Amino acid sequence: MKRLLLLIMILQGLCLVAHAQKGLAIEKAFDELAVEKNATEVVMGAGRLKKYNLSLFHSLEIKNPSEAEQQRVEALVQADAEQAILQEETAGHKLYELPKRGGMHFFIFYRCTSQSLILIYIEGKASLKQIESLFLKKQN
Amino acid sequence: MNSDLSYWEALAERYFLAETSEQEEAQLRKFLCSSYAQDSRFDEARATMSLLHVCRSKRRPAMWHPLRVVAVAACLCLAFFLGWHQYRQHNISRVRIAGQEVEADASLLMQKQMTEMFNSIDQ
Repeated sequence: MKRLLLLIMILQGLCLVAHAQKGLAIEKAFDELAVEKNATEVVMGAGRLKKYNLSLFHSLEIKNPSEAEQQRVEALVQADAEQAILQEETAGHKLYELPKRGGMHFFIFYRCTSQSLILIYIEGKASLKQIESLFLKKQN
Repeated sequence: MNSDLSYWEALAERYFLAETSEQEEAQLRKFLCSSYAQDSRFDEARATMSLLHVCRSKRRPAMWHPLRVVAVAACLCLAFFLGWHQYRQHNISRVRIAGQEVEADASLLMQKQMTEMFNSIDQ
């Protein structure tokens, strides 16, 4: 019985790792705004992201976002930004790195223009530089 | 219960000689647990029977008690569900437009969004 309980605890631990995004304010943005008619949500798990050394990719793109949508997402991003260890903010975009846990990096990317709003949450072993070089390379 | 201690003493002796039936052993066991058997003559029989009882219960635990079966089945179901859930989360690749899941290349969308994002940062 003890062994079974231990097994369950391990599996629950794994599930918690898989749901690391839980507990972040931006989770509400994904929940609330992904159902909007102009929204596109993308979720990819570790099995599909091996080549990027990432374990979760979750994005929300809203075409022609309304003022209310922009404000809502921005407020949620700001709430998570308070615990960020690295912040990069310009008029067009925001980038935050959240505290590292268990060798994993956690990033929030946010970009808002009048044409589109993109909110991306990423977690994985890859560092910001590695991710950056990977996706900038893709375009070249 | 027979209160004649000499009867029980004789039975205990026969027990050590392996001449008792299972029914007699059960009677002896019951007697040894009673207040009549406090006499030191029965210490040896009590100790032996206690030891045997402990050894027997360790060798054959009540494995298939109905509640235990239910608990094990519930644990296995939970473990299976969590494992399946974990596997599904691990391999998830989903695109939803307006809340509706659609057939689309999530990898391509991811690359497009990430490239756009880093290009805007780079500028």
